Amino acid sequence: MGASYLANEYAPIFVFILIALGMGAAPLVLTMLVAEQNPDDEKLSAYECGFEAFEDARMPFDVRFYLVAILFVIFDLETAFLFPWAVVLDQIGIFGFIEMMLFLVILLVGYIYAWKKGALQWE
Amino acid sequence: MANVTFPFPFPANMEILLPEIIIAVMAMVILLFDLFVSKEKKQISAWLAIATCIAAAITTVNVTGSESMMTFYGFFVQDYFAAFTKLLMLAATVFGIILSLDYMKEETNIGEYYALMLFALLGMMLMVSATNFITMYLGVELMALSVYVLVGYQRDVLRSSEAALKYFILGSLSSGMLLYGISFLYGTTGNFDFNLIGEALANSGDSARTATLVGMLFVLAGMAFKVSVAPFHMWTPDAYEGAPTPVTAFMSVGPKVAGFAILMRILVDAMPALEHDYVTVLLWMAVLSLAVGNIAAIAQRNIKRMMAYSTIGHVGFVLLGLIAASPEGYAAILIYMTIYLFMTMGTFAIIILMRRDGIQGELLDDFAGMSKVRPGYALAMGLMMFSLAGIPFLGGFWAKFAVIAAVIDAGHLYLGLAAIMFSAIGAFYYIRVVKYIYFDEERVAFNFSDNVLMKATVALTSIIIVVIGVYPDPVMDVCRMALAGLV
Amino acid sequence: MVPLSAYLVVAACLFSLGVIGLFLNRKNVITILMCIELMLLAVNINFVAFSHFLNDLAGQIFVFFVLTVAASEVAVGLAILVAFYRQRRSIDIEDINTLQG
Repeated sequence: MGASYLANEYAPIFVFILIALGMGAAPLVLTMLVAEQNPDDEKLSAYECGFEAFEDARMPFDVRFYLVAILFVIFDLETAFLFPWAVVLDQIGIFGFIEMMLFLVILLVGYIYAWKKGALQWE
Repeated sequence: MANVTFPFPFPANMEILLPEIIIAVMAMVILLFDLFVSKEKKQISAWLAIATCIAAAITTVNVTGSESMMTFYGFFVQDYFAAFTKLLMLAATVFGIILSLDYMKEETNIGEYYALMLFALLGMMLMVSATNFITMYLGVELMALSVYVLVGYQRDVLRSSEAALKYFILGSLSSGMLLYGISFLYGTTGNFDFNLIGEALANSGDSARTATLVGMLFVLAGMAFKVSVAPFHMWTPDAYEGAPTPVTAFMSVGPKVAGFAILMRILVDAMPALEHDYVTVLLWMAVLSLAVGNIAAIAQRNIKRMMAYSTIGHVGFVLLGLIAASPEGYAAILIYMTIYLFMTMGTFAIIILMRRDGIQGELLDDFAGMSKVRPGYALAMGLMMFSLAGIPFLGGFWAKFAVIAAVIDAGHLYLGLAAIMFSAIGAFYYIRVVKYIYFDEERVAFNFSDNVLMKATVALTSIIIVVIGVYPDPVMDVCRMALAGLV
Repeated sequence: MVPLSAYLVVAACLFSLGVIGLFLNRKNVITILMCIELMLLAVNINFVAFSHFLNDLAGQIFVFFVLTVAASEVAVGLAILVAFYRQRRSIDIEDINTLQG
């Protein structure tokens, strides 16, 4: 066991990591070696359509994006249950079918709730 | 669980799920009801929620037989033990809703509030009926997620949001630890079912002992967070102080009952082989909880924070029952929880009655001189405080007596003596409240709310505390009978 | 064949990273949410590994439930965070200081 499984199973991954690192590092190193370096203040400042930059790039996102993200995360996960259910539907019988329908009805209640609360509207 | 045939047959005994189904359906009905009615009619959802709890209580009694019944292929069990703890949690929810009636009048989205309470209740009921870690985990999370939101319910109050955030962060950490522990128990035994884990651990001898112990430790730590046992109690004072007061009342009883009930099930069914190990761990937790709860409470000026530390102290006492690991110990836990329910609800009812325009009524100073204006409430508050302190012949005395007797019977004499000592220290801060009420000058004008149900709650809980104090035998007998499903 | 212990070590490392991040992180609450997620996913690695080596599907079914619950947990956490941000106009850890205990 020990080192041998590492060598056998992970060798391609190590090679892949090395190549990826090389591809990333090469342009940086090459420009340093080849290009002429002559920095000044203007060159180092952030470029924003020729204007002076007027605010920090790390501004907070609009809260409404979070709301959409939250709703997406919740309703997205139902698929995780629907897929395995669909695969074995012919084996689990009518009881399995009813159960999934109940699950979907509960999600529907949540959906109606979100809708009536106006969570789906941007404005 | 192992011998499921395809296609699935309809599970037998589905009727034992009826209380849970009622609560789930009604929680969703209340959620939608709130959206479609005018503002004046929204208060109806509180009455719907109370009716739901009563209906669920009646069905719980009706579906419970003298033998334990399983449904969903052995994933859900209903026995005397589950039924008794469910009735306690239903009572806690009804009290919680009654305490909310006035408090929530000024709030928006009340439908959501009561629906969340019912969802939390549903989670707790799933927990105590769990026969395996999957059902238990889903119940724990349903309860925890609902309570996080309830704590942060007053969105326009900073301390409420902040309390919810702190509670959420530490609560999620505890869920992670609980799961990590479950994964190791699953790894060493290959099962999620409590009974099968118990068998596997009994037969496995010493193989994979480290992994089993790691699993046990993490499961205990995760559950200790949920029931605010020291050293995992850090969230308790902040969450209690920031939460709306009715939620504080609800969460100081409901989740504790559910948490200890499922801990009993886990320890009895899954871990008898590890008794020596878990007793050692719980012993230190109990001593720490007793110390933290009873000593830190003395420094508090806010009565909600004081009640938080009081909860930690009481949880320490309840742990003594688990340490005893005997039927008497488990019966003592049920007795403790029953009496604690009434003491806590009575106390919080009076705290909520203190709230009036602009004054929260949460500082100890606000209680000064209450006896001269409202002797009735002052007497009730005095009774609650004496009972919480464990002064003889009130309900709280028998609760403490039962756990300490059980733990001394089980051979932990020093732990019992330590508990008595901490109880004496703790009596100081309870009696200090009585001093404020009876011997201090009135500082603010008292203007109590006039809600009849709230008054009835105060009266009822006071009477129950006194009656149990004088004549505790019937309650104790019921609690011993409730153990039939467990041991 | 990668042995079971290798998976457990990876999961233990990730879990510890999550816990350490939760306590050492002094900047931002969003990081805490990520740490919590990291812990739960580490647990999932444990479950899947055990499930594979025990030849028992239950562990993988549990992973589905954990994933779903983790999603709802993050949803609730984000919602609470947004409510807090609206009051405090900040999500820095140092600003969670109104309640002292």
